[in-house]
Amino acid sequence: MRGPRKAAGALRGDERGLTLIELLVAATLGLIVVGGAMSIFLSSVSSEPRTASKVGAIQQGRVAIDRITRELRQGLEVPATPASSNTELRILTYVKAVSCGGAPASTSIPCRVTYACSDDGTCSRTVAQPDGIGAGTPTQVMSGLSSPIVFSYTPSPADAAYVGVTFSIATDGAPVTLSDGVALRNPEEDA
Amino acid sequence: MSLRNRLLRRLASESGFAVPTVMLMTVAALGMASVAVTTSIGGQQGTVRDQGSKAALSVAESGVSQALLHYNRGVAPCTPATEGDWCGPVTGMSVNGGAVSYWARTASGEECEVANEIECVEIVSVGTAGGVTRRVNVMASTLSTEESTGGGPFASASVLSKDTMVLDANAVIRTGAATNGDIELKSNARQCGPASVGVGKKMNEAANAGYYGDTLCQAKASSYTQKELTLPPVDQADAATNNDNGRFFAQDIISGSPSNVCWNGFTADGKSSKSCGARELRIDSNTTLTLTGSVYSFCKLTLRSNTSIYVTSPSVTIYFDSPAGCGYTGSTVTQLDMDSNTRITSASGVSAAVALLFVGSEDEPQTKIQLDSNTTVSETCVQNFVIYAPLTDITFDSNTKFCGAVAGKTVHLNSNAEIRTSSSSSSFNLKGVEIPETAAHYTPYRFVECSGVVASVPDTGC
Repeated sequence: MRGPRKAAGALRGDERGLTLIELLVAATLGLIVVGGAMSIFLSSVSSEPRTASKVGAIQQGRVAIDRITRELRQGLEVPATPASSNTELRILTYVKAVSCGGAPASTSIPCRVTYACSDDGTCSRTVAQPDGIGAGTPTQVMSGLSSPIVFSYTPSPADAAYVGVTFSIATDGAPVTLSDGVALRNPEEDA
Repeated sequence: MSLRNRLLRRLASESGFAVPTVMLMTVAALGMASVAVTTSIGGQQGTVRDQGSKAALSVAESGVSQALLHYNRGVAPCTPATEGDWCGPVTGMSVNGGAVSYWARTASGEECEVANEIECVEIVSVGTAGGVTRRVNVMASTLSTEESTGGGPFASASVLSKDTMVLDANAVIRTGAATNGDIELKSNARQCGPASVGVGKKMNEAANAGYYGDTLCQAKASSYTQKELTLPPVDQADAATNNDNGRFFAQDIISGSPSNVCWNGFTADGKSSKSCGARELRIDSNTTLTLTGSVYSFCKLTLRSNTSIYVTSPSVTIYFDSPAGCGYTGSTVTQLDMDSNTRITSASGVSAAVALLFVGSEDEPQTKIQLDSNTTVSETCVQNFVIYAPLTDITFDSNTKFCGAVAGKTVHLNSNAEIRTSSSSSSFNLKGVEIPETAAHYTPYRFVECSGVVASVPDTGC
């Protein structure tokens, strides 16, 4: 029996190489594999902007929904007048805002915060004093919505104890939905 | 052989290149897979952060709950250096894999920030979970005892017993019932209305008996609550000496034969009688006594054979003195004994207008109330009053139909006896029955989330 060293030496000395048939088959298989890979790669490259846009919109939605639910959680009431709706939320809640007499670094004070969503797919946030006067400049908190219907109220807008928030984000395919909701933690005694 | 020669020989070789090709393809596949994995991870990071954020909030809120639990048990969760200062952090707790720590302080007056808040506590709790930290600030105030207990002893149920409650032989309660012991439903007996038993106690229901959730005995129920029932003692104050007993029988007149009424050892027509002793009232046979005063003090009341007591004053409270106060010795004393179509009722028809309060005794002789064979009227309540006797055994027997509220040491209904609901009794505050003070109960009224990190003053940024 030959030892392993001798067998390895014999293999190294074998100079037969590949036949033409083997080479053609290998080249064909290689082209198929590389072609498939290229196809996937090009597809990924072409869809990347859409994917990035969708991820960005979802991230923006997450930030907005987190902000809204945070303010709802520490809310005192959803005022009966002017009434809130599916596209517009008015809530009396604790915030730190100059436009309602507070300061960014001070203790949170009750203010009226309004979230208004419109048909152009954007939502804006405005802070005012509890009675609604002295409203600050609206700031856009969300864009790219496929529907301005965002808010739901339980049991009713005039007597809301729980507010649901649903963002339906427009994409090339089916809209992506982000949904959350919270109960008001500081309900007024007569609410 | 030198490296150069080996390399030249390898290049001159006609051997295949399968291994380099496979390695190249593997690297290319891994590269493309890693792009997909990286994109997926990027997309999931937001979800993971959201989960961590919500978990951190719930962990922080658990710290608030824990601090409030301490305060509501009457024990502060930590001790401040100076009263009113912050104490804490209270640490070392793990909640659902997250860590929580909290600070607390008591405050009063304007510090509570809300008008009319006499005393409040402020709690700042920090929760960390999934790499996310959230801080919440909660202020909680006390509710008064009156608000938290919601009224008199019958606020939660109209039939109360300190020990056991037994319903036997077609007896039925058509209102809420609560006891510190077991509830026994035997022989076609029915409890129709919400029931509660003592902690660790139960409702024993015979096969032909029934527990219903409604007073009409229509909806079968299976669940009942367990809770502690407190029946405070009766404080009759000076009623034993300062009362309206002197109105017998000049102002409190009799309809029927005066000889059938015995009070304080004499009949109403002035003859000495051994059928009643000191502060004992006995009415026999087809006679009615009208009470016009507001406070009476009895040792014993006995009604027999179609007799009645009729109350015309807006409300009357009849105190039954303790056995010792009445000079009773020996075995059990029946302080209220009604038999054979007798009744106590008020002109207003409101059961809460007539309150019979029994001081009772925990020692011998013990006391008893017996209502027996009172009525065969099926639709109308003719026994229409409130009995409060936390140290006295009460028995309703033989077709007795009672409207109002009952509280006794034990309550036993037998032979078609029935107790019906009386809405007016639920809010009736009995004179001389003080609901015990409870520990201050703190309820949150201001919840805010804080920004920034914890500073030397825990509620900075809240």
